Amino acid sequence: MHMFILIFKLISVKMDTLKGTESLFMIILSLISQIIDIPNYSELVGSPDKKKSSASDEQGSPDNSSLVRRNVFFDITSAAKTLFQSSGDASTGDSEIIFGRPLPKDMPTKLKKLLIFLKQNVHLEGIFRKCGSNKRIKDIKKLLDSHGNVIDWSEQEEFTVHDAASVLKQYVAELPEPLLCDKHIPIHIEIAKLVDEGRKLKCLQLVLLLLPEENRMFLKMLLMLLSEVALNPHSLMDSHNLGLLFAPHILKSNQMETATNLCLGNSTMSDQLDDLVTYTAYMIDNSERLFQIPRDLEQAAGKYKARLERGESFEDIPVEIASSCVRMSGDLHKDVVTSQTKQHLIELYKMFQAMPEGKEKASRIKKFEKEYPHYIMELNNVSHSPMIRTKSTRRNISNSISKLLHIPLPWRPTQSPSQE
Amino acid sequence: MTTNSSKYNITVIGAPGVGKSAITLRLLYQEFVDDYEPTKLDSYQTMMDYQGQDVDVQITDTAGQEDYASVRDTFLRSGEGFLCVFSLTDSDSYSHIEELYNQVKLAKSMEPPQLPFLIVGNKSDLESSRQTKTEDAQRFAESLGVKYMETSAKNNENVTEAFQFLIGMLVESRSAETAPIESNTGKKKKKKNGGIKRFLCGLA
Repeated sequence: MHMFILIFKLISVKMDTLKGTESLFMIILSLISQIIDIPNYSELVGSPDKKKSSASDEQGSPDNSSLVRRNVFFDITSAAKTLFQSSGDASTGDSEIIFGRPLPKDMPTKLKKLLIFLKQNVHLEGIFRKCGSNKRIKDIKKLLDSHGNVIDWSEQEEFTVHDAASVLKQYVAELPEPLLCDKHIPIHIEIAKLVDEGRKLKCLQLVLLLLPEENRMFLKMLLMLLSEVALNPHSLMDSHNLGLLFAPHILKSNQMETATNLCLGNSTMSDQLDDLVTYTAYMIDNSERLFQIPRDLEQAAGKYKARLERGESFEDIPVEIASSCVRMSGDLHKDVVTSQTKQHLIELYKMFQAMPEGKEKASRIKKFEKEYPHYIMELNNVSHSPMIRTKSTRRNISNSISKLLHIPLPWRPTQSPSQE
Repeated sequence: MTTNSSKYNITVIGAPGVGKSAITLRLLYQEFVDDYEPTKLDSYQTMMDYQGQDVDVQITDTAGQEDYASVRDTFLRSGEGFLCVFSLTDSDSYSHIEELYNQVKLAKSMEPPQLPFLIVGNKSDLESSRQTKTEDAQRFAESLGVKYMETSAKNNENVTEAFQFLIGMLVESRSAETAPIESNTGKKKKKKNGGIKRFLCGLA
């Protein structure tokens, strides 16, 4: 499994491999979250059987607010398991039928031979665009789905390059889960919106590390092939054209299907489709760099390793998931607004009370009490802060402190709070 | 109301790379656009002359790729007239015609001669690399009960004629349904919009 190799390379420390996978997974997610908001975070770290409920939670449950700068500990054993292993029953790699099945752990020779044949023909005009003959495509698929009967592409004259290219496209299209993985699609949609090249590349490199090894390998071979086509002037197929043809398959998702269905009529949908086409073209253009490990990850993993070596226990090292935007329900939003307003008003009141005695202080406190009478009541009743007790004691305390220390109390006359 | 009843919808279908967009843009712009870019879906509105009357035509240029088949299928249902294009230089595209024809027949639950369907062999200018004989295509079309034409978007041969033919079928089939209303709306439209070709969306 590639992730383990990666861990050993990066962290090169002897630790429980599953724990290592988990921590690397969290470090990667953490780095991604520094660039984009991860829309389906809870789905990514949730266990597979909770997948459905967490997806519906996202609609309106206020629980998601806990995503904000939360320290994630490692109760996510299942997450690592599901993320780094392919979802389906692909383990039976010897399966003869390949179409419509999950990617096998080891790429079948017949698929490799198809890719090699296409690699030899990247110069052909309209490759992947022209569709060949439906009958011959069916014949090839039948042959590839049968046992051992591998087509000798260089010898045969029955099938054309366009037939073969269509077969490959259909293979990708018929995968039960899209090549880029269902649960990563929302992240890809976010990355597609990024403008900054460096951030885009880094984020893409990171999210591709989360793919199951077989998906990563196949994607790499596919993108390498497509980039060769795009670079060959005779093919007339630039990366945009190829992106147009492959985006609906590798980024297939509910959103995507709606996008293609409604691509007329609805301009936002159409825009999203265009975004994903451009994004796929970007992946083709950068196929080589996509599979490199970003330096940030090496550094982050290195730091993590150092803390482990210092004897800190695995669970105590927090990994931060940043989030600048949290989805919350209307009620929760109201609560947050009220409580934050209250908090700031309390601070304001404290500041007034901390002012040196004088006309200004008196007038401000009077004004405040007039403006927010219910807060004063609440402040006096509920507050446990020693700063806000009855006025008389406070005044005495503040007076005595200022006399004792011979310094003015911390108040800022320049920032007149009443004007704020 | 009058606009709706007098607008004719023509959907251009066919295998990838046969020149669906080239034919459409030739009709709209009188020029040959040889951009090599697959179409997802483009829709245009134009005025065409039919027997001295201006008719409002909406042309839907679809994707040949199976990758966008879901989009195309939607428009098979909403389309009225079908321009089914293959390339004379690509016998594979010719072999797709029958399947497309069956799909349209199914989507519209209509058959010729009621079904406005025209088979077009495009790229007639590339005579030296022709793969489909005129007689074969002609015979095949007849067996389905539809008409066949050969066009060249590059040399502007038969493009307008192909669309005109479909418009004719559409106008006649509609006037058969609502004969008295049709003649009125035709005159109204003529005053409104004097043959200006308008782009709804697509290439600049």
